Amino acid sequence: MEKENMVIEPIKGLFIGEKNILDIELKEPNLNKALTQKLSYRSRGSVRLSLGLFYTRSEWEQKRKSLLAEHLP
Amino acid sequence: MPATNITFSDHETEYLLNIVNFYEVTKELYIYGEQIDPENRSLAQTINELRNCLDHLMRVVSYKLGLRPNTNGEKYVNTNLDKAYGHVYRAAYDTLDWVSLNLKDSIIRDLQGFSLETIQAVIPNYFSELKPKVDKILNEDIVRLRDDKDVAASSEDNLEKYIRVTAELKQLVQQISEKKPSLIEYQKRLNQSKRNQQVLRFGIDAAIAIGGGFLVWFIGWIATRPQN
Repeated sequence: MEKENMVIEPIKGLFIGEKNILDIELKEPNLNKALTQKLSYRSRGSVRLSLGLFYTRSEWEQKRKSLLAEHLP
Repeated sequence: MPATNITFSDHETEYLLNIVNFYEVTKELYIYGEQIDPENRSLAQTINELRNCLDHLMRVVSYKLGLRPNTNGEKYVNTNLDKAYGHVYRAAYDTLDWVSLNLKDSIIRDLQGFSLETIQAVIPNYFSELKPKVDKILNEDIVRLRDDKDVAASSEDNLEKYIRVTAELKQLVQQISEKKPSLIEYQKRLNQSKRNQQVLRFGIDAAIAIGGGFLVWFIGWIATRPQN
């Protein structure tokens, strides 16, 4: 049987009480690597991210500086 | 009732095309960056910029579907398209930065542990051609492009140049990487030959020392032997 086209409209504003959620600016995520790894069993997303295999902004800045300072042989 | 057909003005379409084009390049660079990162890591900055880009695009789509009647129409759409473009543009720059420095890291790791003599013998054009080209891309071209990234008039052009020089860098890195087996082989033979030379040298030195000692003893014996 062909699925009928329908628009699903969930109730909005139940969690933070803001109806105009689309216009709220997203904040920079505060990535906690240890917590990410601890909760990885609940994640079905990217394996790298679940395992904490990512550079946070500060980690990348640090590595970037050290790579920029290195010289080729 | 939401709108059933969405239309975009020429100006909006131009914005969307740029967003889609830069998203496609960023996605490709991001996948490549994950492949070559020495620690198999991802870059959270790119994900964050793309998340923000999606957020602004959702506002545009929401308005176009007629779900946001109270917003300031055209201005709202343009502002959000501009912001979405800004985020995908920064995502591309951050990812290019990550990829280009990982490529530099890849050269350093590929050549680590090999003597200059080995590098020169196996990759004869490394010091004369490849290294100067890589240095120019990393220390001049990319530095200039990053310095100019906020100059609005030339931003798209700069990003395209940045993509091109990073692709050129990738080619140069590949030329070096594919010589790795030959580098290992040459270095092994060189080390073996040096060890053989050391053994020979030690043998000669030992023979000279023993011969010298014997000569001294013999001269002493001649000098002190009783005369009949």
